[in-house]
Amino acid sequence: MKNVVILGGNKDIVDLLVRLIANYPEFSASGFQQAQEVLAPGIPMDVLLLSSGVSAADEALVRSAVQVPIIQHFGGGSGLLRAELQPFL
Amino acid sequence: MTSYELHLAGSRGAADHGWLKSFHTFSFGNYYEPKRIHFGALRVLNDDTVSGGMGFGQHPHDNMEIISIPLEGDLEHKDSMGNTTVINNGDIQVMSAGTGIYHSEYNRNKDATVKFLQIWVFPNKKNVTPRYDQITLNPADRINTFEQILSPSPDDAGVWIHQDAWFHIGKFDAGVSAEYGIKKAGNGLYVFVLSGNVTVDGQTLATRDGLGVRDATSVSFTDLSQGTEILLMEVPMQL
Repeated sequence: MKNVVILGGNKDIVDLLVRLIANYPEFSASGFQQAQEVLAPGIPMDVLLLSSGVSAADEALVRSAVQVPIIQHFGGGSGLLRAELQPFL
Repeated sequence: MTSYELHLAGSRGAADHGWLKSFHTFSFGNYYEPKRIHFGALRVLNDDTVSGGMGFGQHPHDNMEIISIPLEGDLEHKDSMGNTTVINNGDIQVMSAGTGIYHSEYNRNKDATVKFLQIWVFPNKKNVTPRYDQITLNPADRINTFEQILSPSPDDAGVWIHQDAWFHIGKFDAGVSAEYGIKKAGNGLYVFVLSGNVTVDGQTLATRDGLGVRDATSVSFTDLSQGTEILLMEVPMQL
């Protein structure tokens, strides 16, 4: 089971992504709107998925701080999600 | 040196959800083919048929340029910016999803199918303000020529998107030949045959076949059958 952490500025979209990813048996998901929440100790993270509405400062912060692969997600809760996650299975 | 990527119609991913039948040129939904993720900035080319009265309920998009080209029937669109519209054959609709947009799309008619192309292009700018636009094209403007229907500029013909991309549509009589010149160096051209037969730089294409052309300055179209309709999508190859 891979833990996907989602960072996005649009709560509705982040919540939808969490639900969609949770439907995949290979992944679990948690979502946040602030970089500091993502970087808090104890958040299990194998992949970080960047959704929309993340400030440049927050994106730079997480890119410099996390050691896991980062996916730029496009398209909301869309048909692209599976293909974006597939390489990390 | 110019190179080509041929996607025959029958090799596309197919999805049948009952109310929705779709062919995916690139990986989408449950169709995953690592060799077919995108062609440059062109990420999605879905060929959708929606049953009468059915459609896509409200769902979000973000950071994507979304172009819909209706081929048959009436498609009703509602979005979180307050737009409620109906598009049909001859129209082109564009949304810049940017920071996030919600919309729904339904077949307006209960007794007829809707066929439309759903095309997604990666934007050249993230988190833009969402926007929506649609225009009605004049079918006469594409006879035996490529009519521009999309560009990067609000001041140019067609709709515009946040990407250095140009789309054209042409409908040709038999015996006519045509040429397309790449507008921006480094861009590639994705040719999608809506109907008919054509030879593109020596490669024979039929209805719903696609051909990606890289590193070309111009592309030639010959051996066109009567009424052949072609959609051209010029997109950046570097993301």
